Amino acid sequence: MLKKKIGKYRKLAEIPMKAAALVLIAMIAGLSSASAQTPQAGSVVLPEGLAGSFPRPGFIASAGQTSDAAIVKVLANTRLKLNFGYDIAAKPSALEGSHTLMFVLGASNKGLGAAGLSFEQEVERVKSLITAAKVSDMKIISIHTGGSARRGEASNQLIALCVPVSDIVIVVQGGNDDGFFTDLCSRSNVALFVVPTIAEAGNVLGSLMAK
Amino acid sequence: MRIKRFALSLIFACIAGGFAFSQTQSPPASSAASAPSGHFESDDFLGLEGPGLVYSEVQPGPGVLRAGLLSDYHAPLRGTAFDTPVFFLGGNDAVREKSSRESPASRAGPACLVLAGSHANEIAGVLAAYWLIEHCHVEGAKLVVLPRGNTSAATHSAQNAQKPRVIMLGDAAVRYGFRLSNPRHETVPDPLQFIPPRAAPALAPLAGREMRNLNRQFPGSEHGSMTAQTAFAIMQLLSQENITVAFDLHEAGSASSLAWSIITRPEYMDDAALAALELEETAGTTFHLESSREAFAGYSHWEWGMEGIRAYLIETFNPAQPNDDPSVDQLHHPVSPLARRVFVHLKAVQAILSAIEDQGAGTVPHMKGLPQTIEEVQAWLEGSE
Repeated sequence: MLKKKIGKYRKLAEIPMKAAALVLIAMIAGLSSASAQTPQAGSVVLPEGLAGSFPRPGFIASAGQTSDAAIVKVLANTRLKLNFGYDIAAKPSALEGSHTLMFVLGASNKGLGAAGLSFEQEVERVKSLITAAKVSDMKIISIHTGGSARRGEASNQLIALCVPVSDIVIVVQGGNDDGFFTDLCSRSNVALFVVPTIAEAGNVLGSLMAK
Repeated sequence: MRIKRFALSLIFACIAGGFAFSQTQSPPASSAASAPSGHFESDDFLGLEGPGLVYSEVQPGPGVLRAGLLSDYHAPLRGTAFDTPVFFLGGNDAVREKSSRESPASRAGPACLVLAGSHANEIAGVLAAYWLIEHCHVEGAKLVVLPRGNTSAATHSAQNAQKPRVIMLGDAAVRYGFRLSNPRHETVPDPLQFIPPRAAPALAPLAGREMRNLNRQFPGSEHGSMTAQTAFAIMQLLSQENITVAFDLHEAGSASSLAWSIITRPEYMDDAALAALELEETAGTTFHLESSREAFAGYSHWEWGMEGIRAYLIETFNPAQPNDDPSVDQLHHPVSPLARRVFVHLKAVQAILSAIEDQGAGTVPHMKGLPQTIEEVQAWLEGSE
């Protein structure tokens, strides 16, 4: 039982130091679902320095027009009541008044078509959001929930754009089976959470956000 | 499993499908017991068309309050291979119909449609619909089930243009058909190109054979091809039965990005997203979402949505697709066995209905008798229920 649960997470040795601490804690919490540390959401407990450190209000945008953003939105707002703003094709002006930006990563040709954007235009839009967030000293969370289906070349380009500027990255396991996020986060020294399910990603998110 | 045994009565199937059924008659479950029993030859079985084909595969349970035919909504379908049974579970139409000042649709009260078998090779949806018909009781809003939207498509297969392919589930036989109507049932030949009825001028035309694809033909045509008339009849059903929520159950192969997905219009995406979270937790399946849009002219999720219906197309993963490989063991496939796909279809319908209700977005049917486990579905499919 113990081995099975641990097996859901990436090997610790592959993960950068900051991320390793987080993954370790997530793993332990996942095993015992009990801890004296606070704050906590679901089975995830974060270190004191990180838990609750992402200021609200937050804003959810996609990087690649994936409909996974809709799932993250209901996870954050309907389930966790975090009241994020939301616009899958947000422009920088949408970020005014927000203190945390969350990118939902994944390129979707259908999504791009629906938004009337070429991939190049989407890249420029994402860059403009990053610039606006940095100018406003916003924290950035990148989240990937789409598994291997959202890991094509276009997705990878957007991931490579967003991950290095993020404060934390949350990935549902199937999206990191090849270690792409692990490597990228390691090189960028960005904290990485690899979680088994979208619901677990919600637990991480809930713990990160300020009350 | 009460899916009708291969050896059950041909006479029953013919009677039930003999177009004598009207909306006011009892469903054939009650008449099955009195129908003469006996073997029917496989060729006889394979030759069944229209409602008889469907009634040779499913036996309605006690939760079915009445049954009708799609031709009740568009009479020219009657007596054709495109006519197909419609099953009604729950609802309180009898009470509402006393109010004569209301329109027929408003008298009917809000209802939900589950359509399957638009593509007759996507059998998990058909079997999920059969489960509803055989096992479920419904309270709250009425549930309307159309288990084989395109019965013509069930009469042939990718491997044999003349005969349907049959898969054995225990000792029951269910047709594994094709995604397009049978050309011998169509009244017009395939055009060189096909353009869905409400497609924008900028959309590229489809291959001519797609004229026989029910899920490219919505909203259909009163006087068009038989496939178009079938789509028209379904639109009439949606209107006359006051359908406010509708599901279209499909499957996709590994080559498609649509496997394990829910497709709906942007305004209903929250329902689908909540359901996706629920499905991950309760069915262990991660769903993707796709947004319906104008480019999907002719598809159920777009066209039904144009009528104000909360429409959702659900796709599971059929490992035999895209070529309908007959060597694939549907029952025991290691990755995506049929029981799992049927279970997930039913869970998805339930999860979306719950999401709609939780958001206060409408009155939905409450279904009792849904499977609790995949193993329960497997036992039903294997005939050991």
